[in-house]
Amino acid sequence: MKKRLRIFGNILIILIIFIVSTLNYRELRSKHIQSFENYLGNVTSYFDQALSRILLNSIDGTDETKLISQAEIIEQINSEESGDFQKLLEQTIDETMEVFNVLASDLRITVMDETGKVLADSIFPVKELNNHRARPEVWKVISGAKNYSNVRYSDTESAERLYFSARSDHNNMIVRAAVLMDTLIDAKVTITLYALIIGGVSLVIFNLILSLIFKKQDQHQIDLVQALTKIDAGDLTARMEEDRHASVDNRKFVENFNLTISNFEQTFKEMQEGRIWLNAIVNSLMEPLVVVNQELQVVFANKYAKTLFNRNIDPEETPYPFVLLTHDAKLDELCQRVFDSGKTTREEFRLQVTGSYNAFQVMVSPVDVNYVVVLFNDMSYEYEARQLRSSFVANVTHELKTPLTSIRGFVETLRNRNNTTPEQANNFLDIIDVEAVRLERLINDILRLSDIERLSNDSELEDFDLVELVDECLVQLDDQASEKQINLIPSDEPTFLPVKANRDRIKQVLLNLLDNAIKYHRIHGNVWIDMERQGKFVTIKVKDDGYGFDEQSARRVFERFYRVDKSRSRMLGGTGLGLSIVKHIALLYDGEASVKSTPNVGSTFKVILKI
Amino acid sequence: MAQRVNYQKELENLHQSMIHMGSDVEESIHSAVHALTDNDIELASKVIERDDVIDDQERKITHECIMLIARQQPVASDLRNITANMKLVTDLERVADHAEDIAEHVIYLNEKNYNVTVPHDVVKLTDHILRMVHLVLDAYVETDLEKAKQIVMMDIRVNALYSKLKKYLVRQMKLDSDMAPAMVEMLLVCKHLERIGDHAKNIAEWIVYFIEGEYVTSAEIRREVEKNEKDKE
Repeated sequence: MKKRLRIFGNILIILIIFIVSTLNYRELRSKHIQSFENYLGNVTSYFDQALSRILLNSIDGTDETKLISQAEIIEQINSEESGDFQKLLEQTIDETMEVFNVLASDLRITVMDETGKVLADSIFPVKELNNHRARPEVWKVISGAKNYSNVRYSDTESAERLYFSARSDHNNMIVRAAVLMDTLIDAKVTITLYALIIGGVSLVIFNLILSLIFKKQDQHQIDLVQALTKIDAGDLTARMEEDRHASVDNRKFVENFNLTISNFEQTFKEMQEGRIWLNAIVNSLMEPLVVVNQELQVVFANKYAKTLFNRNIDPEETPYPFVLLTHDAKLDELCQRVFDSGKTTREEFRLQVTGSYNAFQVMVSPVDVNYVVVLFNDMSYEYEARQLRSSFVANVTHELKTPLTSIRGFVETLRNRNNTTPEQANNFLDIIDVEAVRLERLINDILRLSDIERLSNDSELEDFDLVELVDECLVQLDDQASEKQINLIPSDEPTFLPVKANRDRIKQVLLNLLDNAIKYHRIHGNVWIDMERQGKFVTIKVKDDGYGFDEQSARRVFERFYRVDKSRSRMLGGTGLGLSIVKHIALLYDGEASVKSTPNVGSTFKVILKI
Repeated sequence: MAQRVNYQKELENLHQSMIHMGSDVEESIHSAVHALTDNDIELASKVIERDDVIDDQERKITHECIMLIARQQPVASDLRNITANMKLVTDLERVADHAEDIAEHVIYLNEKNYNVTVPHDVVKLTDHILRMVHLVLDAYVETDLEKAKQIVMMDIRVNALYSKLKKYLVRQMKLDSDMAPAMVEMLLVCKHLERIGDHAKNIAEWIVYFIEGEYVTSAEIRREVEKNEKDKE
């Protein structure tokens, strides 16, 4: 708009100046011509009169009254030998020139006869001039006009002249007077100069005014561009400056613009906050969550997914194939299926994670047409628990069935009395009794174990002396120990160790450990019992110099139904749950149970309890 | 113009095929290492099966690269991209071959019933190799210069671990000559692992070449990284 206005304005000014100056010049020229026409008219008429006066003087004054025509006089002169009409003409021209030279030094007078033949000229010799009838001013007069003037370029002089021709009143001759037009050239130069100056000044003024008018508009535009650039670069605090002097339209625009941007900023902030919230929630999820697009590329992975699969790539910046994360093409197929069907699907997978393979329940659900959300539910613990449960059930069944089979077998034999002597029968009954006791013990142990497992805190806590409890256990096991000639050696220190716990539970720990130590010991062995308090924890150590066992067994000895030597253990009536119970009681009291053993040297069981 | 769009698409496809192959190779080496530590025959045979798939992928990718060069006559970074991929794919395939070899050793050890416990240092070596292969894929996907340089540095550690293990295994052979054949197998496994490290390093060098436009030897990278660390201190 502004540019167009500037161009049109400038062109218009130039045009106006050009037209005005041209018109001016033309006016000047026509006035000039007009005045010179009058002047030249005077010249010709003066010449006419002067000629007739000279002609009259040239003949005798006696015949003054006798009116004769000039043609007759000319004829007379020409007929006289001494008379030279040519000279008379030149004389007349000179006289006329003298009179009019004051005003125009460049005056030229030409005299022609009625056919255009030059008779005399003020500047050029007659011989050099050809017939002038072709000149427009001469021709017009020849063809009948009284006088005629025109401006043209003179071939003879190579200059522009104003010519004025007139027929003589007294004879047939044609007199032509001419002046140079070069005085007008000065005027032309001056007019051009003024036109240029005025034109230049008015152009400058016009452009200045234009700039002033558009200055506000320009500032407005610059402000707008600046604000938009800032917003584009992400700075939503950018605003346009409000100018009280600006036009109403601009002011309104700025107000509306700023209001819109403020609203936008507010909305954007809210969205960003929402996003941060969402990110925080998704990232704090303790389940790996991945978003996959239709090209089966990961476009988002939460923090846990990144750590679990150890893929240190930011998928929001560089999306990468889903298979690179999971290493299982079947998962890709699952995602594809979900894309096709649009239904949430669950499946179990074993996937490669940092350093191992874990079982996952993978849930793929479509969020919209373009994305699916993949949730990985780590099933390793459940898998382990499931496996443990099934093996426990299998073990329990086996352990229960063994004594039962034995009992039923002997009962069957006893029914058949014919084949058994009373001694044999007694023997069988003893065996049945032993098996029944074992069965009872096994069931008790299982109940006890499940009891402990169920608890998170022990009940019936009481204060008692642990040293006294150890002594009690030693007394209880004394018979068993002396049978195998084993020395039970409690440590001398401490003599008093007060603890607060469920007395029966702790006794169970001690009895199980000591019972094991005696049961699986060689004859003439030693068992040391050691206790000490370290802050809140009490450590109980039971050490023997028995057979010991290897590292692999040491790792598994606290498992349920694990036996280092299966046959021996059963023979001795062990349930396979003793150490497991110890471990679980230790766990119940925020402690732990461990063992160090060297084959053929001995073992040390260590139980730490917070009591 | 339409042709160029197509070209960009083809380049992107090439990139994707490479990543897919990389993922398979990573799975292979992961499985092979697990087969070794857990003495898992089933896993080992899966690795051997997968090798054919990876070989096919290599052939396909090489063909794609050649066709791209022939049809599109790429220049500058595109040409570098394609050449680097072509070199890289060979190294990647070699990694898979070594994984297959390791799986074969595992099967052999199992057949002969050698009850060898895998030495702790071998486990350490496998951890290192797994991390390297993992990182090199990350570096490729992200075209990350720093990660690529990190891999070159990791290879030094792998080589040191390998020479330590070699000495240890030779000592074991001297101690118990009955176990010598098993120890030889173990030594070969270690050698394969070490070679995987070298290939990972090569891949990293090609990634550096692709990003920086000039081939930098690992020695130079090492010097640069060490200098940077010194400057930091």
